[in-house]
Amino acid sequence: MRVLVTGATGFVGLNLLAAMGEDHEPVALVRPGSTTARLPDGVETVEGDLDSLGGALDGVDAVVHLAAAVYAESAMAATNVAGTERLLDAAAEAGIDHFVFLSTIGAHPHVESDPDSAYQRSKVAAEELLFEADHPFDVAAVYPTYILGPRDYRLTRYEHVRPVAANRLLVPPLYTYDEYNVVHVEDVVGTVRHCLDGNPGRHLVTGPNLTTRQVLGTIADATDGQCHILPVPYSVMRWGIKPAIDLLAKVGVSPVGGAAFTERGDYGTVPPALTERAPVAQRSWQSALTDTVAWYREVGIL
Amino acid sequence: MTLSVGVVGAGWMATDYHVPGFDSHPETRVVAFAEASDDRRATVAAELSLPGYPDAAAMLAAHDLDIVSVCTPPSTHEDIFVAAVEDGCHVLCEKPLATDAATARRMADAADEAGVVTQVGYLHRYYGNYQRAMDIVSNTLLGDVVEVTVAHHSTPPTQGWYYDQSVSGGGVVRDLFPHSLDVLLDLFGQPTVESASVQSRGGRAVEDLGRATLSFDGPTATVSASWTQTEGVSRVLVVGTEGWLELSPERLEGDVHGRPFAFEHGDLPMVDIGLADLYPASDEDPHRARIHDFADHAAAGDRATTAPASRGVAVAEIIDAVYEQADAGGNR
Repeated sequence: MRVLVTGATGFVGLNLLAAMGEDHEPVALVRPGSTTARLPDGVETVEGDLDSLGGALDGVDAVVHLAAAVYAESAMAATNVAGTERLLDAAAEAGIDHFVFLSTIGAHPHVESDPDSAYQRSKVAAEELLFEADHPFDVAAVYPTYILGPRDYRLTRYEHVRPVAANRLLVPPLYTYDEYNVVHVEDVVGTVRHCLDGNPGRHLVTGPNLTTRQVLGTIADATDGQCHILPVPYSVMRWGIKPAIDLLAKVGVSPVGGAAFTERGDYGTVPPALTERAPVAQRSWQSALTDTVAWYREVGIL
Repeated sequence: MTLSVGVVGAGWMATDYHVPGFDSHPETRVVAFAEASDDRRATVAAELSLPGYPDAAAMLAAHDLDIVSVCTPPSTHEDIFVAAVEDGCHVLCEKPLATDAATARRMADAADEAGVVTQVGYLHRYYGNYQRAMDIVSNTLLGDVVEVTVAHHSTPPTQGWYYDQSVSGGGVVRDLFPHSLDVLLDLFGQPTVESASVQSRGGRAVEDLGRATLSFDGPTATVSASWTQTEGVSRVLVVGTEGWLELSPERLEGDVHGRPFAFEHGDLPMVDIGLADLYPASDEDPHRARIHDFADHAAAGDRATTAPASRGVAVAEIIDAVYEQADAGGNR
């Protein structure tokens, strides 16, 4: 089966290409000017993007659509919605059998989406294109929580690891109180391959909901174990530190109030009923973190 | 089994770095040295309690050596190097390997014939920050590298032979370019010299300022070096399609897709709270690191050192081409 992969040079794409075997023969859609140095040896490439697909779908049996604007808000509507629509049209014309879409946890119908996130809004909009229209092919969508693992060439997860590796003592929350739901990129990749094997519909990939202490503690063990994590309960932040900083701000000692100390960060948490779901056997959340750390170390950034 | 080391040339490079370097390695011990100057030989023999010989041939005849370490001026390297490898010794040779590429080629051929382990004494890659940078670049974290800028400016050397073309093989280009070229060759392969210029600002017999633009398969590199500073400076800037990094021996910083990273002496901070950071005290010793790395390879009989004599040939070819370009363009 020949599979066109969009977003092939991204985090999930590179992991997917590395894992695809003989049954799924990848064709990587690579944007002009994008580096091909990270692609596995011998992988077939076709130059183009969602605006100019050209003959990218010629002789292709399936499409895995990973490409998305994740950070640039201005590009989200054009890439994530209009781009997906163009790809669906081209796929119908090419007569493919399977279309697999990488969505995000907040776009799943059973999960409350964040109305402030342009990214989630764009993925919800793409949802209608996928499941509220008739397509001449199977449609599957994958809904992962917070993905970690190797080949994070854009260092999108480095912000969670470096503070642990670069401090002997860490007192979370330093500025925000975070909760996480992390999954291993290999399990996202495994789920995509599961979809290609004829399993349409929606597929969650979720881990357990985790606290800052669990996540940072595991990262600390995986780095060199020299960082001590000393968590401060949220109630202490809310009723102790915030009012104290507010007072300092009032008398002119602190330049800002304490509101920032009560901000809560959420990295992919789901309702308890939806935790630890995936159509494939899952790796542990700890391994998602330790493999991330190991890869950062391998490439010289830790 | 401990490998016996003979050091040729007993200047500061030998006594400050090579002798302590080999003596602190578990598998190597310095057992003899050669030094042409009678006074210096007597002083060092007394200081180190080692037998000293007037030349390498006498030392090789008197001892069954496993390793020869060459710390003499460049024009003397060929005879010492060839005699040592023909005697079956592994050789660590200070840079520049030779005064020109043809000489370097004869030396590399002799080493290949003898099947011994060789390394040229390039230093930069043994700084923690350079190791980080080489890992980051070779693992393509910066995307495709488009541009490298190297500025390596130093104080004038104190020994007179540096300014004697027949002994040194050139000026600051022959002296300082090798450290950077070693790293660039390792990362990007063989370049062509696009343009070059050399000048003698201090009225010296050899150039004390040199610049070259090199085209690699991918990036373009600009390398400059001088002997005109009161305090030296060494900086490298690497720009790729997805990020950049800048380093000195002390500090490395950069950015990938807007996500910053920083190291000092190859280490992460002990404390980094954004507004302020604190790095661990550094006991970095790149001289020891390069000598230990060579000793490891010699002990294992592994010829694939970081910079075998063939690297010395490639470096000498570029430097020869830099001088030719500078002459041809009237930039001298």
